[in-house]
Amino acid sequence: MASKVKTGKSGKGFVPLLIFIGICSVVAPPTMIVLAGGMIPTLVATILNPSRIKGSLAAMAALNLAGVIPVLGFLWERGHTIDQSIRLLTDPFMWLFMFGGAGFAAFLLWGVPIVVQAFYEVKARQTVKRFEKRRAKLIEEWGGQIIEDSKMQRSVKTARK
Amino acid sequence: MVAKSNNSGEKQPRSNKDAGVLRNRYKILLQNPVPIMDSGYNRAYKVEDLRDPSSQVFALISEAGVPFRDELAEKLTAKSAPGMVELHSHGVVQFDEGDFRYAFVFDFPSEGRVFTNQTGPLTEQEVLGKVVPRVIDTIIDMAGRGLSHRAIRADNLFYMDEGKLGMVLGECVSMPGGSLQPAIYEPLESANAHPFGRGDGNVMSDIYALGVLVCHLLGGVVPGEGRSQGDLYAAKLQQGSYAVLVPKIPASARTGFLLAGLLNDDPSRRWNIEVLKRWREGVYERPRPGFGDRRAPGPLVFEDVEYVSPRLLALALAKRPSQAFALLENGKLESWVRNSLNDKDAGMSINEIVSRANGTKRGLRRNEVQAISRVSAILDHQGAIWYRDVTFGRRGLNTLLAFAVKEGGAMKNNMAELIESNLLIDIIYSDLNKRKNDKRKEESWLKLGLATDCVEYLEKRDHLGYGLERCLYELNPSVSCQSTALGGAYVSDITDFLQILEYKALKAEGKINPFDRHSSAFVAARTKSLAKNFQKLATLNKESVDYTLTLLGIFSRMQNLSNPGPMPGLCMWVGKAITPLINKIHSELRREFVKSKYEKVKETGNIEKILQAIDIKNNLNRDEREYEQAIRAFAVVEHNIGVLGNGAEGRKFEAQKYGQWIASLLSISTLLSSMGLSYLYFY
Repeated sequence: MASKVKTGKSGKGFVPLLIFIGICSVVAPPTMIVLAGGMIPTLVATILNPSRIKGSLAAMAALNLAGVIPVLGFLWERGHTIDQSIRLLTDPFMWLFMFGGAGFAAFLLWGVPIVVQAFYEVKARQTVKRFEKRRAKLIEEWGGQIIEDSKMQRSVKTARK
Repeated sequence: MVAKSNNSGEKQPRSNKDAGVLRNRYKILLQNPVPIMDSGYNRAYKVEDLRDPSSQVFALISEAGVPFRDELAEKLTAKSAPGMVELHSHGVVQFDEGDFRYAFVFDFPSEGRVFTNQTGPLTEQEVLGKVVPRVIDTIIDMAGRGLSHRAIRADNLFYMDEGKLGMVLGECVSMPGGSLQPAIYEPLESANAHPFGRGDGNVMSDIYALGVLVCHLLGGVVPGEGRSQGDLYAAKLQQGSYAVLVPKIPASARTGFLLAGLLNDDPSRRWNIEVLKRWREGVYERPRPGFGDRRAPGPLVFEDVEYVSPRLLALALAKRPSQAFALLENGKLESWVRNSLNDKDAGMSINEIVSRANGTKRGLRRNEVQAISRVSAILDHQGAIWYRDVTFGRRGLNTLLAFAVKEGGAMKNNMAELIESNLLIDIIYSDLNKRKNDKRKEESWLKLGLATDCVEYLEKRDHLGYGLERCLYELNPSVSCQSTALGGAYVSDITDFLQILEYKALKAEGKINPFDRHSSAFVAARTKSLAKNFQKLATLNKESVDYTLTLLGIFSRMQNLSNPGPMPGLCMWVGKAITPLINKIHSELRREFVKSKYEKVKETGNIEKILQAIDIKNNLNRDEREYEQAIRAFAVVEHNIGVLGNGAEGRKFEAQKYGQWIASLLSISTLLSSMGLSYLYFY
């Protein structure tokens, strides 16, 4: 259900994009050619989008676009023609720009969660250590019976529920 | 108790040299028994008089649990009776630290008994010239002081001098009144009672015993030898004591008159002190001999036997209660009592007893027995009371109870049943109603208040301080505490009780059980100010903290009331008793704190100070509250550890979300930067 809703939403998001593509294809075909070539990683990511997490697509699109924008700058600077756009697309450095952004996005999407998780784990381990210290202190003060009694209290509570 | 007051101001000896010495004078030699002077349960021992080595005395050591006649002993010590072996002293003697016994020191009758089975009959001259006047002297003296001897019998007569000219009566204080008498020596009021239930009687009992003594000495054998107690009783009721005893002995008319006067079964027609005095002075009266019980004009048939004597009928009914109850139910007995005995009050009482017995559904057999006991007591309001195997004279309940508790068995249970059933109270009321004067309650053979209290004690028999044991100590002030914790030592008051317990506790390092059924009942009976504590104890659960604290509180009160000195032994026991309470404290810290408090205060030897210092109840309450909080805290900690331990997947998912959010933020920032830089570069 959720995926359907998501799909519906993304379907709605595509309409202005298609209108934009349609208008741009008429008004600025060279730009559209560069964009069509340069934004392939985003397109692929949109189609695959393994994690279905909004942020990942946004990150991919943003960094991909960040790589495409300088290429568009070159296009508009050297002449906004279809020839120029094809020439630029034949330049591997331009592809490096455009796909490099996407690649960096992919790296970020892979690496940042790992770093965050590592941080979470360290924090959790410290908290557990603190709780275990408190637990040992309680046992030391009140004896091992407290383990049984707390279990009993929990089971009584569960039974009441 | 009276005996103890005699001890006032006199501490018992402590050194080995003084061990076994009564009142710093009579050294009792336990290694030298004198079995010929044993008296019932009590053993006789040689005594060394430390002040007068030439005097010949012996001691009777009272057996634990056997009541003695303490008031009589007190009066005889204060002023001896003529014609009686002299009681020099009596009291508690300490043989070693924990060995306390009650002893009586008498003159030793060195010339032996006046009469034994081997000596044969005495001549009439000897009896009337030597024995009777001597015994009359004793009876007159004792009667003048409101006392009765109750041990006038042939084997209790002794020669004191070498010429065997003077003779004396033996002791009468170390056993319950009449308990050592052969049944034939007992008048009808107690002839049928258990030996321990005969009661102290009165001067008329002694006068009757004198009559039997004369028969015994002249006849050379115990009168009625070979016949059972019941047979003799029935014969006395049918023919009268005179007819049963006298025809079998050679007696002159003078002796015959004397015996007719002494052996009259009706105490009001029996010779009294005045007549005895006149007889001693040589004025001989011609008495009318008694003829047993009164006779009804018409008989009542019971079990194919015709009865005209109500007392004989009472005896027969008591022996066969089931059959007797049928007679009650069919109304024949009531009708006989109303018409033949012409006793309308008794008839009404019997009618009421039948209605009550029929109205109670529970315990049919018991109802029958109780109804018959009530009826027997009405028909024979002077004789012994019957209840199953329990028979006792009107003033012999207390001593019989002591016997029953000492011996145990069915009689003990029957005594409990008898007291609990209100039977005693009914009989007391019934007896009181027969009297017409105003001082009714005061003259009762057992105080009504005490009888009702005993019923209450038995109703609460499951609780410490109550039960038959409490009745025993309430009814017998001279009976020592029979708690096993005391090891058989004689203890008649709380001070001695604590002193011996202290010794035992110290010896056993506190590992004693000082509060069993006997000791608690003893303490409750002897310390009235602790009544509320015992009532509280009865309401508490035996496993509860309050129960233990109330129990310790009783000991603390006792210590303050009787012996405020230090009692380190009992404090060690207190330590053992409170250990389970201290162990109930969950907090290790608090537990150690309370223990250290106890260790610090126990040196004072004061139980109250220990209880105050450890303040165990308050500590337990606080501990309970804090433990509840700790349990909750522990549960939270456990929960959190569990959540964190099992939360790796969740954290991974969260990290993924958060990481990609961060990545998207970085990407958008990079996009904006790219746009800005491109703008700056290309324009």
